[in-house]
Amino acid sequence: MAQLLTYPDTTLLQISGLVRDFKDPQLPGLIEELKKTAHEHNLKGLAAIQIGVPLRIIVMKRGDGSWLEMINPVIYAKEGEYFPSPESDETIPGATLTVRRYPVVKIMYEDRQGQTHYYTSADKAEAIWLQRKIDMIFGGYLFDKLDKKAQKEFFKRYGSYEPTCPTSFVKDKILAALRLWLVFHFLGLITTLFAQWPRWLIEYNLPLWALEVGWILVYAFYARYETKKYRNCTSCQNANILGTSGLYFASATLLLLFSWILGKI
Amino acid sequence: MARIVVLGAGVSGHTAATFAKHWLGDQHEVVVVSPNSKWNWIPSNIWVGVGEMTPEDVVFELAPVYKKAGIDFRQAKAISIHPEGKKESDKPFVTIEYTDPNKAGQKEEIEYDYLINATGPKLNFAATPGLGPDGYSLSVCTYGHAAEANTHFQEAIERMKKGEKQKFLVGTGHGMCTCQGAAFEYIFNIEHELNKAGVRDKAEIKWISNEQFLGDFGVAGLHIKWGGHIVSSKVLAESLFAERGVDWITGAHVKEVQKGKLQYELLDGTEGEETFDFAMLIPPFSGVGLKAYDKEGNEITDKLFAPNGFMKVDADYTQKPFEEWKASDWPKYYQNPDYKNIFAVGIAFAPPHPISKPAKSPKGTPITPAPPRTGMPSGIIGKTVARTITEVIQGKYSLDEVPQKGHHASMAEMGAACIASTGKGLLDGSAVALTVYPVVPDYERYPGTGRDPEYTFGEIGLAGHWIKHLLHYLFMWKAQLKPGWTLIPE
Repeated sequence: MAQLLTYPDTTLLQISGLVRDFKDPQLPGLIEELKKTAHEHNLKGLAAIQIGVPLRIIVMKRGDGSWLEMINPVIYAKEGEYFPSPESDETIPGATLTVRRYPVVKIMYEDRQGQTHYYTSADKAEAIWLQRKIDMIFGGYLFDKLDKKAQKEFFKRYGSYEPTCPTSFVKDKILAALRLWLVFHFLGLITTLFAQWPRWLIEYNLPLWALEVGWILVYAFYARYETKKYRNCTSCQNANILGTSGLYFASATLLLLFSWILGKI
Repeated sequence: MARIVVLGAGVSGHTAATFAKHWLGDQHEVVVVSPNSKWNWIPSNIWVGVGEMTPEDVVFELAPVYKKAGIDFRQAKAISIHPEGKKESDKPFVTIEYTDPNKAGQKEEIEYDYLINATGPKLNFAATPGLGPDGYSLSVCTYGHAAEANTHFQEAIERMKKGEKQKFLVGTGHGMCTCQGAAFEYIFNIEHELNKAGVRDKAEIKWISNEQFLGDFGVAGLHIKWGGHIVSSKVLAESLFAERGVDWITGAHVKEVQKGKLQYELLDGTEGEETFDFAMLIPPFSGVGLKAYDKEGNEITDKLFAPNGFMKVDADYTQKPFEEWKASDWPKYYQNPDYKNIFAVGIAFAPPHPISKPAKSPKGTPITPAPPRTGMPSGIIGKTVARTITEVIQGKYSLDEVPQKGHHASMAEMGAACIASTGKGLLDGSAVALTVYPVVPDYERYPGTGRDPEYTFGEIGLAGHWIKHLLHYLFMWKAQLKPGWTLIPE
């Protein structure tokens, strides 16, 4: 019997690939293994990724006890209105999360020979189960369907699959220091209108600009590193890093322009 | 002096022509033939279609830009290619017919040493009866179509302000369409604008597409970082549609569009009908209908072009089942196998097969998104081909050596980013940035999905929205060859 993977196992969280080779001699064995594992765990069915195989295969026991084997299933149509559905799943033991589902789904899938079939969910419970399992083969889990706030609570309660978010990020400290320096730089330039001592800010405007750009680069690289390290932290976004770096670059360049104008006066 | 003739001035043709001229200088000639007098940054047509930009914001006149660059611009449409020349001359040439108002209808032969076919697509509205602005649906594929769509959109808003309900149907108008991403962006811009106008409660918005599942986008799904890990765009799309109250139909081949309604066939062969007050449906694409002739004047169109009208290049066009598709089937050099001095870039080259898994309804109707070749890949391919031709002209290698020494840009080796933005305001917008690497799945290098999860960085939020804005201004700047244009990536 294969072992069932549970959250926060990272193998579970990957996107499964399409089954392309229907002549693969391991395919029938894998399907049988899935059925056996589902039966022994007293489950309605399983997605292959739940036993660590990243292939789009789902087995489901129907009401009459027969098994439905679905290879490369996709939901191509649905019926009815989205409704809130409180669900639990063996991948996240002990959790009940409310997500939204359709009451009827239509599925296109292939059999072991690669022949296409169509299946309409028999009832609401089956539609919910199928939507949950098909989400899994596309890398989606119950917590992915929660809003940001509910998701944060989930990570707090059930643990995260990656290091938890620190209360403060080093990248923010780098940025705070840069901000402070830029304010000082700006005030210093204003002071040159009344005093001589900060004139070095104008004299060395290019090296100072280079220093500030270097500082931004250090921020960007470190922020990128932290983003990779704490993937589940909402504040870590690559686009934000890019945007922030861009804004600070613009500020530094404006200061350069300002010093150049002051130098001409 | 060598002469490069570029047919078409879209993203790929314009990129190829401008870079070739930039690298070759005045010693060689670059001629651009395009029936349009203006260049259009097509991704921003979405904003024209909801009235957030005017057509003037997304276009510029090509003639002055080409004049400045030293490129010979002919406002004309290409009619035929004569790769072997004619009886009196071995020199290959193309025939063109001017659309320039001063010479309208005049025909001319233009000889070439190197030909880049970048004609883009013909918007094949005729594939579905009633589809398109001449029928009963709208389009955002050109700035003119987008402006027309906006007129209808504003009228619909006015009606809703008077208390009328309106139904919006957005998506693809045929089972073999591509560009689902553009329709996706348009539907959420419509939703955003209706909210802004305070009439969202009067609108029913529905998506109809040929994707096999919601979030397929014609490329078997994109990836996004969601909840801290990588998920398929399927999961994101379902959540987004539910959150915004947008209903959907996928796996649909639109059979016919009539006034206020359309009929469709689903993947399982069942048929259905949808009514609408406003429908924006992307048409399928086909080749522009260029003909080719040999030295004796016999038609050899089949030799140069695939049956869908796109040009054959160095791809593997052998008919194969899905499980045998390989990354190496896709072209690398975009060189025609029979006439080595002819290249095809952007939408003009014939792809070897779709990217999404092919599907047919039990009635035999193919319902499979065609592979997208627009935007970033288009620009990269244009530039790559320009680089290769430049080096051939400079004598670094011959045309026969291109497959060994030329520059390559296979879509199975490049990534793509799709930024779909809603709203245009700097603070009230949101965007989803979806990415994949490579565009064409490489199942040998990346068993399973065929994609590398490490090179996926899709995000959702305001920052992506700013990037979309930035891209508009950057590409308009770049295409107008303003200072520093060569530094802006494709």
